[in-house]
Amino acid sequence: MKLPANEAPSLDYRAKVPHKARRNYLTSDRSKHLTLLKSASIATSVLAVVLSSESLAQEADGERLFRQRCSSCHSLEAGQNRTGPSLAGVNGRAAGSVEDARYSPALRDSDVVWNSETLDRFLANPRQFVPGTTMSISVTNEAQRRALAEFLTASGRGTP
Amino acid sequence: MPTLTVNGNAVDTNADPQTPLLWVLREHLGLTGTKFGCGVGSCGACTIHLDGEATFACQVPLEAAVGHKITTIEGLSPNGDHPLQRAWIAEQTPQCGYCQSGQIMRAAALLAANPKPSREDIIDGMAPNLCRCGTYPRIARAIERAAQEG
Repeated sequence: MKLPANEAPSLDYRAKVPHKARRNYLTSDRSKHLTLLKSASIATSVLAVVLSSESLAQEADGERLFRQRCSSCHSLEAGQNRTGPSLAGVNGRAAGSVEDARYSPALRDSDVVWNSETLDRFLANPRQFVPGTTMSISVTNEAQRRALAEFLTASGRGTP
Repeated sequence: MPTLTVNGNAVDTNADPQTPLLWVLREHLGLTGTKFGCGVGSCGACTIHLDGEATFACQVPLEAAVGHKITTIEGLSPNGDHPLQRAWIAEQTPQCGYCQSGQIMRAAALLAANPKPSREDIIDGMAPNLCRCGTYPRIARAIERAAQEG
């Protein structure tokens, strides 16, 4: 059945929009919209550059990684033991040897001496490197792990 | 029998000295605001304060907590009106909520050490706590609000 033309509902939404408003949309709003699109795409590329340089910086920034991943349990102040021992002067230290720190018997009895290589292996999988240790955080990203090991053994931290 | 100081109260427990503090809090003392997430100190759901420092309760054996001041989410403020708790409500921060008590405890330790943290301080300081709903932007906003409104 076909409705008479004058009773058919209008499907043209533009008919309901006053002519002036329509013109405004087509001119000012549309050009604003285009400018917005352009700046959004510029912002996206800027953001991409910022993000990639940030992740690179983060991978290389052992100090920041230490703050983010380690400092809940470890301090860099000598004598300040938390859940884990202070890591001040960790380079060249025998594992399990910090006074008044809490250690698993496994770590205390191990022959490990900390340096950038042993720290790197420990951080890759602590419970594989020293079975029975209560240290459970592993850093699976190799670049991050290396940055952390380098940070922890860097000059100035090697001497208590 | 080890005596703990939890939220200002001295409590006795007959748990094994090697029991992770998390389970002493939850199972022996009924303080279930502190959550179990991963059990290996990787997610932060169990974050509490040990002498004011944010600590993974799953990583601290009972014997290591004796003699220290333990604060859980239940004891952060007397009426749930810590500036962070108010900011959390104002910003409608939680989604599923599971990680949020740990997030608030981490944030409270952060603000205690650094009352006016920058965005980067917040991001670094909160890094140990994960949120699978992805409420990070609202968490950061709530911390900024709490820092501002005190």
